[in-house]
Amino acid sequence: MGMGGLMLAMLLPWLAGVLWLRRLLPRGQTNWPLWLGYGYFAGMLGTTLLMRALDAVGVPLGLGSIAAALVLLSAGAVWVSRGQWREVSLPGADWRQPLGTRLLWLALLALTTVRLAGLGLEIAWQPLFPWDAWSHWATKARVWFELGQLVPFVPAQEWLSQSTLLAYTDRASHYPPAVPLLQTWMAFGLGRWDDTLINLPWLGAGIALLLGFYGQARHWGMAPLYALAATYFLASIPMLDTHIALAGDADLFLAAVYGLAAVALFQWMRTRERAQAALAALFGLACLLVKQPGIGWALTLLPAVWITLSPRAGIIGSLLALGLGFGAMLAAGQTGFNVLGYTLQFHYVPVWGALWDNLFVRDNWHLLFYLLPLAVVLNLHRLPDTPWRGMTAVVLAGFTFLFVVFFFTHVSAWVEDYTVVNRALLHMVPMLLFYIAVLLHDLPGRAAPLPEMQEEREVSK
Amino acid sequence: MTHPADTPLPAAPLRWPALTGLVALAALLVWLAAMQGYWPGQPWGGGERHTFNAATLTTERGSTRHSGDAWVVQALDGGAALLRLTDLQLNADSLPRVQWSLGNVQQGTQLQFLWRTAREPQRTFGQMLEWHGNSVAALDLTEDPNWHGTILEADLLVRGALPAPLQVNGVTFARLSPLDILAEEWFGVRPWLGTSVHYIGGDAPRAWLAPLPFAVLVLALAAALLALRLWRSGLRPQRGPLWLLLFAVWLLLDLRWQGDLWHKHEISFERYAGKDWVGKHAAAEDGRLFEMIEQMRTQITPANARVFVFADNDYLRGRAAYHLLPLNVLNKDNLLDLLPAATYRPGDYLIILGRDEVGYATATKTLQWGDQSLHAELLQVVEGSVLLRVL
Repeated sequence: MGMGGLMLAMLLPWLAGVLWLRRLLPRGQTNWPLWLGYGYFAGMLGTTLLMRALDAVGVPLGLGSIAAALVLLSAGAVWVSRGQWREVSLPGADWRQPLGTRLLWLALLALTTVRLAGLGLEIAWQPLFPWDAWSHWATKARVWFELGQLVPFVPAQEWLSQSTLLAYTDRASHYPPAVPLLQTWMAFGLGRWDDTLINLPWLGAGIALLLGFYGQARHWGMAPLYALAATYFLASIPMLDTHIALAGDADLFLAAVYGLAAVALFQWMRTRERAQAALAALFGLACLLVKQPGIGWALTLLPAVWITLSPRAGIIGSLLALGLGFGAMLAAGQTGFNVLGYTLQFHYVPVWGALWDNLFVRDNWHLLFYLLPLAVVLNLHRLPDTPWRGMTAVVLAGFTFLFVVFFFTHVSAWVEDYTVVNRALLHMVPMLLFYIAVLLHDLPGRAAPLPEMQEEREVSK
Repeated sequence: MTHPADTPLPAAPLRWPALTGLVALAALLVWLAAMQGYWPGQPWGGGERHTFNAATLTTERGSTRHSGDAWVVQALDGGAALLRLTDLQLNADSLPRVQWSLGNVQQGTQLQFLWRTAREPQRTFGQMLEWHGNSVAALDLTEDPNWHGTILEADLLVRGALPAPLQVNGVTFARLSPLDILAEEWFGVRPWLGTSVHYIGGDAPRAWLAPLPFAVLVLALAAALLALRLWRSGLRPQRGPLWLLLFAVWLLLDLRWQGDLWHKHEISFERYAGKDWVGKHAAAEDGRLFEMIEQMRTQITPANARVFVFADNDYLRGRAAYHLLPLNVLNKDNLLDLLPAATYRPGDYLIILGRDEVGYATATKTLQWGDQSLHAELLQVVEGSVLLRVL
């Protein structure tokens, strides 16, 4: 145990995730960065499901039991994927590029690496810092690690009324258990409680998100330098960096999982690759495991699927659904009703000032929200076409979700005091950046991306 | 200049010096306009600075020695050391910023700036100094109602732990010039804050001089100037230089953020590097609370007893509850007042952090608050906070 156990706890789920994704992604439809990036999240979130399953059947949780189950799962993946190992295309750097391009590529890689190294050191130094991390998430991890079982967490009233003390309570007893289970697993690996080192998965999440993003950018057909520039842009976003450095909140994981789901969906809209559809479905569902708003985010992917499969019906149906939702809100009036954990009410709270300050004045996102309208305007004439139509539907659905939550629910108070606005926006930022990168990459006058991708597949064969 | 309708305009050649000059011109124009807008009539001047080096300070308490141009506080006397600056006659209203120049400041050492004014010479006012790595943050006393009139005397009070000698180089009283303010807003040291996961930076009182809008304005103006120049020359714009310009602006914004991050890393390193997790918590902002809870924890048996924490501060209550884990502790938002006495059962534990309205009668072992009372044994008292077991 100790640091060796901690490394094992980091790498074993990653390995299992990568091996199972290898089975999912057939020949020519993946590359190493994509595989490693998506594999990390699949493995980590899969491990939390495994822990829940082991606990449900009465197996005491610990490094031995969980690691043994992961090894068995990995072995199973190797068995079912035998014969597929040489079918993965090479990663990003295309060394046939001119020297200047290669040097720039290396410079961007160095910038990104320096950033991640600094953020990793912060994780290693800082004791658990964010408010929600120590009041909502790590509370459960500490108890589950010390007791070796997933004792329930209940609301305070229920805790007060129980005659024998079986359950625990914290400030968010109803939140999904995946994030604290990750911390519990790290503590099992380490063999002791350490609320600094249990946050190592946040560094892994940052690295894996960038790998998955870069892999998908290359898969889209972007040149290595362009793909890495887009990836560097993502790595440079101050709010994203902060959520890696001050680890312990669930927002980074939701941003990564939703972002990778949306990007896989974009790929499917363009190529109809079944593997990308499977990734989108898998990661869309994984949003539900991470945080309550994950349900809302997962739903924002559905109109785009409908619109891609049946454009006319999809657009009309989505607008009707939106109208019905608005009508229900109108009917409920000021009383409101609960949906997905939000109290929806027809009480418009204008929070434009907070949005303006956080999107366009404070350096939370660098130029991202200035670049988005520019990219859209430059591509306006193409947005009704495939795949832009579906991709734009995802973006619009995301903004609609945030608009309703920000302006018509109790969350508006947290937007006004700035405690939610950027954390909620963070969830859609990896997807938005990929959307912008693709719009600008495929501007009229540039080389069509598809042949390059086909060339890459040829190389992989 | 005109061209036939069906003949495409010739593409503008890319001239890097011209492009760079254009951006520099745009930056200068935006900067001048914003400076004039925010500080009309005095964008360059207006700063004032009075620095007092260590030689002007006298040691009133504690053990000190001279080392070069500095005082070194070697030991506390009765838990404190005091260095004093007398006969100041400074106008507080025109010098709202106080920066102590200190070295080798250790976590756990409490530093306080004290002063007396001509208006109320019998009273001493004070402000705690915020620890920033191995030094302290500057104080901005603009909003402090007691920083007013003529300042007669200024002190540095050292209390708490002094694990290593503290170096005192001097103190500066200042009014920042607009350029100083701007430099600080763009490149100043900012530690991680509780708000950091919510938004970057502190207040942004001058939006158009904040890095992001400033950069966007420069970019927009440079693009407009470039378009004007091309239009006058009858040339077709190239997209490449504009994208490069955009990339360069993003990169510059990010380099500034990287600098900010390095400052943050330095502070975190000074504070936490090389410590185990218990040491890190002891070094954190709520380190004293952590140590107090660790003391109380040893008295709570059995491990599955119910524990209640009360404090009039949500942060303190939440942190205490977190530090108590894995004990079975009630951790609830907005639990400001003690719950009704009927809530508790024999064997429950209560931790009450600094609540004045709660009393305890030792003779009858009775905890009293409002019209409620509870039979409980007082187990521990630490700095005004108590641990009790319900009987």
